Amino acid sequence: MSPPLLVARDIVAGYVPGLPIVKGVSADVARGEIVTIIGPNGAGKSTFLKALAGLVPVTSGEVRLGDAVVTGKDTHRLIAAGLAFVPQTGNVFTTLTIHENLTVGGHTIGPALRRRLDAAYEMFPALAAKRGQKARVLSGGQRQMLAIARALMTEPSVIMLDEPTAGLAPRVVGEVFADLRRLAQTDVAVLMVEQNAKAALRISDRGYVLADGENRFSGAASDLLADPAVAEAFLGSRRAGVAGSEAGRTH
Amino acid sequence: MLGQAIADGILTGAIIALGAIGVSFGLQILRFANFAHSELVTWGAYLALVFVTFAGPGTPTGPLSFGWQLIAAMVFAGVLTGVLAWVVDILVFRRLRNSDAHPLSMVFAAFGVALVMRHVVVLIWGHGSYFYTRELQIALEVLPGIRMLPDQIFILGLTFVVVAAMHLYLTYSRTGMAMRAMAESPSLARVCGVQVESVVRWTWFISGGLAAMAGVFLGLTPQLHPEMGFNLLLALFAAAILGGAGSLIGAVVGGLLVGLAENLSVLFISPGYKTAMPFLVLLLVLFFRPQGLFGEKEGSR
Repeated sequence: MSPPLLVARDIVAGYVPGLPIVKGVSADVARGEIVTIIGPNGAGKSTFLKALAGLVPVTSGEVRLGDAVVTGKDTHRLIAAGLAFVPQTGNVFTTLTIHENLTVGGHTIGPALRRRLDAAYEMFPALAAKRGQKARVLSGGQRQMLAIARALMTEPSVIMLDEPTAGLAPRVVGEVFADLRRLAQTDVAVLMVEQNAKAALRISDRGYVLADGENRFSGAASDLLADPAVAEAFLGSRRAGVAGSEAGRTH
Repeated sequence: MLGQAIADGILTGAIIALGAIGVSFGLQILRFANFAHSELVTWGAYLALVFVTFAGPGTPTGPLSFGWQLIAAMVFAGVLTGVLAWVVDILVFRRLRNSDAHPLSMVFAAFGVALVMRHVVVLIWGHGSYFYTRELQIALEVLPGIRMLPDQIFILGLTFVVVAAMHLYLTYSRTGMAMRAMAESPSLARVCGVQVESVVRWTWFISGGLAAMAGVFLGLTPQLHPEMGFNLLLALFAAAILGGAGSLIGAVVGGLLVGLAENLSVLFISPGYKTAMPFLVLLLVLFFRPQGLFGEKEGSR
């Protein structure tokens, strides 16, 4: 595996000074790799991603993107440096057209805009058919596709996704995961947070388990899936017979 | 009578619309009720007066009461008021924004800014009234029974051109698109790589420029005084909310409705109630459409 592209070391972050939600979390992701962060609600998973994206202040720790230290940089600079972030909710502009959603960050893209738009519409034909319409007409799955397509417009080297399958129908969940798998094959580093823990780990290379704002477990996704301690506490009790895709939600 | 009231209403409405666009941008893009916006109207008018004091209002062109100098004065005032709005943001509002101040703190800060701005005008120019020009004009009968001054026709025409240009700007320009994106979700705009501070700067600049235009028009019909903007404040907010905050067309239609409500009411009730009319319309509209006439419903996503 190539050296990690995005490295976060001992990140402490939170909205209110003195009340950190993320209390020293480390994680990294390499090119072509899918890494999933799981953990119970309130573990600080989303806040961790937002901190890496420059949306929540980082009070200590270090974020490296490639060779550069980017801790505390403005979001638009991180985007220009090759990072992309897909928030969990409100991740498309419903009052803008699909075309506008894809081009709104256009100044960071420059002359390649035309070519990348074509690429986005080729990847998601459902969006191409509705390009002139407001994004509010899209279904949940299509919105997620638009959000991912939008994030890819800057041709990022790292894409971070906050619960990309939340609220989606089971069939669409599979489609989104398949898209992420294809994306990783194009040498993009994928870092996501998922409640849909088992299904996400099955398509991931590695995983981290967070609890109370700290790293609890980490390792190969297959090892985490097989680890009884992880399964017991974070993937849902097997004896309870919870359906696989819902297992992560039992906590 | 009715035709004349409609014509007067549209004229008042056009001026209100120019100011209401800035209020609407403030509510939606900057996310607070900027009660200091009316003072940008006053400042725009007085900055144009500075230009006119030195260059003169110009010899009347055709039927108009002024020459090219007043147009130049308006451009001068528009640019300076835009810069003024931006400077006030740096001095006051940006600090509050960056420290995540409560929206109410922003509103109270705006009240403070408004007081300071208004009284600096009094300090410099005094309480008296000023005129850009003392040329007399003869009203033209534009339609049977409807008379308008050539200056008023000019104001309507120029407002129409500027609003159309603004609409094209918001629809097609990169910054316009970024402004609409910010209006819906500042955090998502940030994630898309939009340079938020740059969009904020443009928003202030455009709001200030349009406010100055409204100020010059108010000063032309017929005079300037330190409370000219303040007297318009509630009408500006009524228009912006009526139209649905964040919508340019909404602010313009809202402005026209407020202007018409004020002028038409005079036909039926005592003129003393004139300024209350916009609020009656506002209450009625909000009762049936809480998001305003052209506003997007919250939580539609």
